[in-house]
Amino acid sequence: MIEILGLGFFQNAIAAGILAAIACGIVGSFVVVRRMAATSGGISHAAFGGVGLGFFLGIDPLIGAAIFTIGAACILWYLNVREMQETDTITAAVWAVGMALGIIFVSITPGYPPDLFSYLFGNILLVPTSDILLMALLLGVILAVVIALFPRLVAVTFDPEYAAVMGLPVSALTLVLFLLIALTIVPLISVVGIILVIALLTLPAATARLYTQSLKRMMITAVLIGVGTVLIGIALSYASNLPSGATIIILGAAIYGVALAGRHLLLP
Amino acid sequence: MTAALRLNDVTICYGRHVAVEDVTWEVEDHDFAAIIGPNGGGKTTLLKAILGLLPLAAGSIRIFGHPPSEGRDQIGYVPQFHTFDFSFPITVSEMILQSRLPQGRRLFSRYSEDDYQAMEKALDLIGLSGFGDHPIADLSGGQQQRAIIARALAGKPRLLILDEPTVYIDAPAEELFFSLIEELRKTMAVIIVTHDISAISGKVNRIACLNRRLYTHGDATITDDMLTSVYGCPVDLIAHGVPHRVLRDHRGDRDD
Repeated sequence: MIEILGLGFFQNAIAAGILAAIACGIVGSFVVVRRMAATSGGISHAAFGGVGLGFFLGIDPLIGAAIFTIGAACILWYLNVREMQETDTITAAVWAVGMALGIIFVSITPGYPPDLFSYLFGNILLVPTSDILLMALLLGVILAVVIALFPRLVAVTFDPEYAAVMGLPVSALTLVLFLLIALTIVPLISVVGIILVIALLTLPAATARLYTQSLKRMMITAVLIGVGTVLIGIALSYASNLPSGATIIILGAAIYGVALAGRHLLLP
Repeated sequence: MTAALRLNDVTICYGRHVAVEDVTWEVEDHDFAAIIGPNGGGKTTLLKAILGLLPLAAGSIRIFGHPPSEGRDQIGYVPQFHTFDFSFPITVSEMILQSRLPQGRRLFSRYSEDDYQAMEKALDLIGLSGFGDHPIADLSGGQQQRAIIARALAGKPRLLILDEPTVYIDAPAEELFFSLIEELRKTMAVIIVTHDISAISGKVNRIACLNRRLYTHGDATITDDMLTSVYGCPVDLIAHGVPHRVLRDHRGDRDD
């Protein structure tokens, strides 16, 4: 187990896991308190269209995914905030259209069908160094935006009407939240895959919420829980030879369950 | 002196539906004014227009002489209690400081000493000193309501607008609430908006009834005519625990 830490692919896996978990804890906290899990699911599944486009054009599928998550976030924001369409209806549509585009791109790509499984369910042990750099860049952007706008984002998340009365650009700040979700999902795709993304985005934040009473502390706690979940999950999946993404998600759900039960014992 | 609020022939429409029609009204500085009316009578619509959240189909709104987009800086707004998610992870002081977030504040900037002082002063005024670090979820219903008022006060408003403020206030707290408003009137105008006629205190010095159109009587009494035109039928005028009679006798009532 110790000697494996010297291997490049394992170091990459740990770096990817930590970067993804930090983004998750911060943005996932907004997702949990603003109830945007379904929106996040729509954006992450739309990323499959980008993965397909990446294969078709012969570029890094993760870059294709980034283009599609950003596009899906903009479309959902426009339909939801500007056109006042029902959130669940348009989320379902964007979700399925993204997947459909992915399948079409893959089917018209010449040659053998690529390995879609690792994009759908993640394979953290296959993350190349170039993707680590992309993840670090995305995390830097996420951190800068959240720190720059933190009081405004909290105001819009807590009480949008009051924020509007205060003269804050509520609609633009909502777009910022959607884009933050889009940027967070990209690194998560390599870690747990498109289908499992929502759980890693919400579970550490939901666990943190049980024990914290301010958004800032909730984010810090969620980052720590997320990093722990991902690292222990990688170790467990390596030791038991189980798929990494699925192991991480089940571990995250177990930690949430224990935390929930523990709260009943600790805070009667 | 400019009026705290001046409504001039205000008409607001949703598509073809006219929600508020031809409303003209004025509230002076230091007034304690009330807008009453049935649910669906346009109270919320008019309130949103005053706050600059809805466009007018006709007429004008002036807040201390300014249109809502500029004048709303002077308004302290206390929304309806039930619209809040009190399970949100936020402390009382963090919530109150939101009223110190004016537009144009620089990115990455932090709250100033002034902001913290305004927050502490508002907490003190509302009787919640020492509760700043408590999460809002841990407060009682009455304390939560007061914390929302403190948030409006920390913005140092000259016009305080409260939407259905008495819904969650029980009788003993109501007296405290109205004496607080008396105190606040020294430095600002106060408007409460409610469907609950019995919630109007005798301290109110200006009343208007809104049901699409606005009916006023010039002074602070509600007349039978006003209620009949607003609610569409004669309403039983019983004032519970009101120190002064604000409701006139029914026309044609027997003399006891």
